[in-house]
Amino acid sequence: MVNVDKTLDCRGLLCPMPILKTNSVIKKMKIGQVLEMVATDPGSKADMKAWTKRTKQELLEMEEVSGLFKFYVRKTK
Amino acid sequence: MSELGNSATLAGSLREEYRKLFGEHWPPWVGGVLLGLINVFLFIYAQPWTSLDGVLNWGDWFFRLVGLYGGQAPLSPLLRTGSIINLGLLFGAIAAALLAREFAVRMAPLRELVKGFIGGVLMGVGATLARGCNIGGFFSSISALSLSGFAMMLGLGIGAYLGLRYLLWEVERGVAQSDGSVPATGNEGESTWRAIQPFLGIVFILLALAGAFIYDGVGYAQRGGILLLGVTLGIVNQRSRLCFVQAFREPFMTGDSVMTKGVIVALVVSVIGFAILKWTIMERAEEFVRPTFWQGSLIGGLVFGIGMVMAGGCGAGTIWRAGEGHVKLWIALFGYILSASLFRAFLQSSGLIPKLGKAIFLPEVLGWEFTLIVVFGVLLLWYLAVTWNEATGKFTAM
Repeated sequence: MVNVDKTLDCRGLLCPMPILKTNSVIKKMKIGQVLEMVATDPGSKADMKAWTKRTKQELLEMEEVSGLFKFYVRKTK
Repeated sequence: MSELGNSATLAGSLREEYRKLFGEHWPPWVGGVLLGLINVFLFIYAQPWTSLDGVLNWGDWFFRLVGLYGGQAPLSPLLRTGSIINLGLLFGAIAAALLAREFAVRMAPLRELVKGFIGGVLMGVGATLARGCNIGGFFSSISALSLSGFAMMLGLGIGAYLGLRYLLWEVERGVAQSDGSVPATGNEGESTWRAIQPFLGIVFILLALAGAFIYDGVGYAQRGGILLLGVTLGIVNQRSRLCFVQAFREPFMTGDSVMTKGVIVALVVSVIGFAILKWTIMERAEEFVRPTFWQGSLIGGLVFGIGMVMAGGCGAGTIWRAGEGHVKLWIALFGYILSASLFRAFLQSSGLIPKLGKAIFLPEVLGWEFTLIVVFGVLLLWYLAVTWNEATGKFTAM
């Protein structure tokens, strides 16, 4: 299990709000810290992959439990 | 014994096929190829794809039923081509979401619902000005070699950029919050619901087929075909999540260009099909060339672009995401329906319609060969621009 420094609740929010919020929150974190983001939009899977790739953040883990998507991102820059 | 072994293998490979089709999302370019092809079929069969036609029909009915509009009743939503396409799209998206176990009634915080409604209202105004949503006014208009499609493309780009600036401002101010209104996970009925979803999906597909047979039985075989094409649109849209909003917004946001490229692929396929048909069947050459170049299409595109970014779904995306169960998109669709009908009634009474622009059919101005060079040239430039932007991050917000 990953050690989480901060959790961001994006349940009920739709594309692109989870990504915009994640981007905004991670800017205020320290390098090496891990953000847990929780979302319910099925589109967030592809969006988070694309966002971590573009912004060069590290997507550590992605899990899906009955319609709830959890993402663990480590701030690398 | 060997028979049993074979059937086990068959079941195994069918399960694998099912997993590929409904366990994973299809690449956006696959969605693009299929949407392009279906649009060509729709054009051959009836009329190009657009959401506005059906949305106006629904709005006209709504205001007639509440007593605001008098006069002659509009054509039944069960007979109006655009309405059947929209219904098929909604139905197909529900079926695909169920088959993929992705259907859920998803509530959103109040602020998001309000944004959905405002976005929908802007979409109705924009689509009415451009005589089509992003599908009819942009995708099908470019396919139909109408210059208005390019004016709307520019408007959609500017609108998507402005809409994104607003969303970024909202996030920086910290007002866009989840209120945790969506229940967490693991309640009692959850596993049963997961298990029955694919069967409900199959029921929806069977209902659609039954609908087509009923149309055929009452002498409307062509409407049955349109319904099935609409259902196919819904399935392809839901599975590939090909999104016109992202195609226009993402280059300004993360820089990711995969959706833009999916839309470009859809346009290439659709333009080729429409061009062949228009070139060979003279009587149909000038179909779907709207007199909205440039004012109607540019301004309409801009207003629609802001609206679709706020709503989180375009003319088609609002419908298929509503089919997935997002309450915000149901509200956006409602706003879109109401405002499109009201705004068109206003336009008709205002005498502004001739000021929306001219109908310009590109092959008439440039000739067929040069038209195709210009259209594919613009698409190539768009492709190169988003690829370059993705690599350099020049226009991205992140």
